Amino acid sequence: MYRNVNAGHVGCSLSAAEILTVVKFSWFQPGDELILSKGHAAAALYSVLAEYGDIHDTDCATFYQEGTLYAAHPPPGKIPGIRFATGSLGHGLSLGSGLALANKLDDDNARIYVVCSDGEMNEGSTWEAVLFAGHHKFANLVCIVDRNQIQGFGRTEDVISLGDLGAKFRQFGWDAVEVPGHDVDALSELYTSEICRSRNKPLAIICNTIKGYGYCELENTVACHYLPMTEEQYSKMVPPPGANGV
Amino acid sequence: MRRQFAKSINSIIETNPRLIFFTGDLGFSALEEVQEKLGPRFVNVGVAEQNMISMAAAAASKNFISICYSIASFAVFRPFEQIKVDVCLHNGNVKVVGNGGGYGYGIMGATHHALEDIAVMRTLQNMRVFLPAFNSDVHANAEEMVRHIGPCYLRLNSPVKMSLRMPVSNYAGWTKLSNGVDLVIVAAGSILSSALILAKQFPSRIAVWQLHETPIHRMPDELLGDLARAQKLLVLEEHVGPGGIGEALAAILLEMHNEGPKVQFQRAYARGYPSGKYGSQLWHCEENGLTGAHLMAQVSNMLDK
Repeated sequence: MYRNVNAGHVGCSLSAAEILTVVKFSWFQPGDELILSKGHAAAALYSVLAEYGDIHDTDCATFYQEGTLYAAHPPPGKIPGIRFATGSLGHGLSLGSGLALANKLDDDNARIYVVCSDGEMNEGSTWEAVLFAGHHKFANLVCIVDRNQIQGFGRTEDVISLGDLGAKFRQFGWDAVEVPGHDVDALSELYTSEICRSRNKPLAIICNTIKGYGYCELENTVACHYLPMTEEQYSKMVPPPGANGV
Repeated sequence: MRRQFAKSINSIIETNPRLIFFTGDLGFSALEEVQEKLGPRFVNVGVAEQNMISMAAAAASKNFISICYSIASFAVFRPFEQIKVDVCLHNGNVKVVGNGGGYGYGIMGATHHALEDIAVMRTLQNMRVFLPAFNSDVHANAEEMVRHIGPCYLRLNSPVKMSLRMPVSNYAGWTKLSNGVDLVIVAAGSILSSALILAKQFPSRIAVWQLHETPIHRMPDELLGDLARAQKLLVLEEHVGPGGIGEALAAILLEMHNEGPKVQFQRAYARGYPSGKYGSQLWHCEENGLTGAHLMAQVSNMLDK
């Protein structure tokens, strides 16, 4: 998708691809909600929704083009599987808390998964939501932090040091766990782990990821947030059929 | 007006089991009964207006009617992006209620005043802005706001307590409050009291029209008739000029081209803090020429021309 339209934000999607895949294919139950608070990884979300069957591949093919619904950031209310427009950071966890509150009032046990970037942890509104959800013990709210250590214009620890995010969530009344964010098996198994099954608090899953995972020389660089993919990079990442013995 | 609002909500919630009331930690001595009646549907989010608006939008997406209450300045400006994106972009059923619009919080100072709220809120898609002036408007506005499916902003202020009010039947966008042939004054909210004082001082000369909400879809034929007769319009607003109701009305009149009345158009609006000093709501309105001698001079001048 990115290559077809020469679009940026490739690295942002690549760091969250496994997370979104596992949430949707392994954890998701009917009635659950997935909010991609880091809306700049929309292409990863669209791809997962297409694989899941919420949307068609042909829809995805219009990504980034004139007149598309599939903009660089998810739009409001038109795409199955996407309840809210996201892209301005710091909204997702509040939206998730609102859904958790609504579910609680309706005695609905569906889970709400919110995928945030680590740069997004700079936003004050995120911590308003963390405080609120912790206070109200929203046990069905799960915040997944894509902890790739890189934000818009630098490394997270150089811009605004986040330190031990799990400890911060715990201080705010959440459970927290760290997992390798590209390990599909580890992520999948988390769902049946003790910390996921028997909870009375919201859960933060800090996913240690690599920005631009697999993105050639741009892997783990600030540049992979922005730069579109070259033909050469694409060929390296997605070898044509028959290449490399495939 | 906030107590009247609380009273209205107390009655409205009886027939709205999906109503959630969010407050940004405000409502002491006004919202206690609402809190008691709503139980878990009354949510004090703490001093966290951004979170309040986004959560309200999310709850609205699950078929709740969300009301978000705070001081007008805090309800509008701090979470403006949340209102724009999470509420208005989704046409969410969220009602933002701001107490103390304009200089309503008087001596509390500039941080507590909301002089730009109408301007920014009326730019948002799907947003209806309600501007009650009398206590009786509050209930009508609150009912209409809850009945309407979509974003609304209710700007509460001090109620007008004068008795020049004409009989009002149902909720409407406009109400004529006094008859007059030489000048039309349009105002919204509690600053209407200034217009009513002037109408009393110049009997039968000033037609006072109350505007209840924006966007302004049309001007009533009777108002257009008054304007055609008087050929003079003064728009009075406890709000800054840019983006206010004066500009909105000017645009409508311009867009009417030759079909509209030709009027001498003037505005009296808030200029902020000309002296850099602070006082009561009335003091600020006087300093800004929204009441008192300066407004009297402006009106006298218009009547004499």
